[in-house]
Amino acid sequence: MNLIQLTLTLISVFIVVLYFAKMRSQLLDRIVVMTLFIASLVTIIRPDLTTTIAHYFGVGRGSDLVFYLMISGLAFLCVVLYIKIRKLEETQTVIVREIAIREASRGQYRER
Amino acid sequence: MSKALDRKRVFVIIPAYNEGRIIRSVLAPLIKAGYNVVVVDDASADDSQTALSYLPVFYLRHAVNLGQGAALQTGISFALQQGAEYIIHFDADGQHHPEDIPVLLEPLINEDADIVFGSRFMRPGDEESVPRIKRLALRAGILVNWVITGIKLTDAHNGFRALNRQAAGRIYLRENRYAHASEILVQVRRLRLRYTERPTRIEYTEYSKSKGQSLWNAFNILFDVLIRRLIG
Repeated sequence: MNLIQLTLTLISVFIVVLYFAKMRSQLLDRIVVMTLFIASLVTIIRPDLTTTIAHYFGVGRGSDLVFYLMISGLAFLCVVLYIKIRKLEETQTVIVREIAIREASRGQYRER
Repeated sequence: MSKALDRKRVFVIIPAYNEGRIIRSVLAPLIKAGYNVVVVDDASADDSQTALSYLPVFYLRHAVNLGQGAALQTGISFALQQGAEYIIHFDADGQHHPEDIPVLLEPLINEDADIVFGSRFMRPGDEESVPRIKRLALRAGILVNWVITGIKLTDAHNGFRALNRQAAGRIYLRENRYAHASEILVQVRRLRLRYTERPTRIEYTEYSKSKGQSLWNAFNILFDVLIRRLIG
């Protein structure tokens, strides 16, 4: 195992440990994360495997395939996060509105 | 007007953000005319709150800034709770005329419409007060609204509107920022509300121009409108 493999493995392990320590998520999310984790470990240890898969998809180099998948994955992530943020904004709006309505006041007319 | 109007049943909703300098002069004629006034302070950083403390208006304050659409919806929800029969959307920067309110209300009172939009392009003469570049942008806005919502009005993003209680209760604004103007059209269409337009005058003072949106913001609005159509 060379240095880059060691580094990438440590990063992957760190991310997964962080995920499971901090997030209480659904079973489906956990399965997806574990699958990605295992896939990354496999490709870190046997990078030549990606080239084999790449050829199967008609892509010349393994690293190109990984690159394409990464871009698609990130784009997908952006959309998911965008929708989540909008939902959060809506929740925030409801809370702020509720407080504003509850604490509505009416001034008394008085000439200054 | 065919039927007498009890102005206490009319609630004028004014979203305000940093309008402390001018808000008293905008509110004064509305109070004098006998309307219920609801000011929704969208977390202004200026002295709006103290500027209003002695006026007989309902004062609501957002704890954080959410945007004009959100402030409008807060005011509408509150007014409905207070038993409002008619609801007016009114800008805080003094560009609308309180004398136009009865004009907007008339189709509602006669039960010819559920929502009435103010338009600065219906009467010759009103149009001339609109700066030329703004006229162009608004023409584009009218077209975009027509394509996206299927409703063709003579004006776009005019903040002056009147709604009856049923319409105000059924429309719910989820667009916190400025895209609410298009969102209203989408909902009018979906809910099959009866709508019409009435001419209203717009005053472009130096103040309202400085407070108004820049033309670039039109692209932000367009983006919000499109996103809403795509992902709901």
